[in-house]
Amino acid sequence: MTTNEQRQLGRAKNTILAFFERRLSVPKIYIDADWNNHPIDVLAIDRDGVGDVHAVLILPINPNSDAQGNRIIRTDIWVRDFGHELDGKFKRLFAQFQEIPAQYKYIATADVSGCGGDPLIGVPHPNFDGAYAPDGIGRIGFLSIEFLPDLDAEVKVVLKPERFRAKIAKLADDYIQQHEPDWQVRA
Amino acid sequence: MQAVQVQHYIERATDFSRGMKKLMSDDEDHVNSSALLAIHSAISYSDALRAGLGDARLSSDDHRNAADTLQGLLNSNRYREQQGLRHFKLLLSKKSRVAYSDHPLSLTERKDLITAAERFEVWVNQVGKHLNLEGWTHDDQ
Repeated sequence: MTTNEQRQLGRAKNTILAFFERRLSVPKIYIDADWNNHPIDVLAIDRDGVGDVHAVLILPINPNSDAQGNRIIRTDIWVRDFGHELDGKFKRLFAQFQEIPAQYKYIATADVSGCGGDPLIGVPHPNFDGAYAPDGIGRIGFLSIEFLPDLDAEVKVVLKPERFRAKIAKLADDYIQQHEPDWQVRA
Repeated sequence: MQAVQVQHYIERATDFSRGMKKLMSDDEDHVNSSALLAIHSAISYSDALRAGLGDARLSSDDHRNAADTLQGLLNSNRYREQQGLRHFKLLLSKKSRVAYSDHPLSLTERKDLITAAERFEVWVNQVGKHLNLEGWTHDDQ
């Protein structure tokens, strides 16, 4: 990943933090959390750490240049191959999420090219079936982070998450005891 | 039954709190609405705490004594960390002003009320957790 892409990824994490800050009630929010031995890009625990746990994995994508930094020309073949590649990445994240205990789980795509725009333009929709818990109780949500030129980055909810069952109150208690949040409201 | 009641009031409180944040995002619009939601979020959180502490006398429209009642319940439970009550008292004291006064609420006043509501919310969640109130935190089965 190039320096620019790393910076865009950092901005994406910050944008997700702001998203949770606005949508949850006095959450504790952690960037680059080590949650039950799983790396989580952004972790938010609602109601000052006593509520539901929200976990986000960010999928950085660059639809504008290849790994060597060469500009991509979007042919039909490229769009097809890029779509297949993304599907594979989504499936790996679905599998990763099966091991991650949280009530709400999200995959956030972020265009890290720095060119702005919708990171999923021209790309086939991912197979959302893999986003469901095996028993149907819980569905991974999809977010899209957009960096618009000269404007603040924003998060779009592409697919709302559905709540997973999770017995993790003690895990959350221990976590907030041992880690300083990146964002919280002080009493 | 008590746990269900606690969760009911917490859900209402967080609903008001999230509504408050949504309205706040339009900077200068909805000044009174967002401030009123801040106050009602605190009242519902107080109801949740009172329900968890066994107070059956809830759902009164007269909230003037709510802070004193809550303080009494905390005292009877020997809970000394009562700093959050001052935020609640401030919010209650502004309820009529926000809802009925013919003087417009300023953005600064609104900001102060929202800050107080958020600080009360943090405190009240800490109290519920420390007192281990049934329904305050829960694990799925």
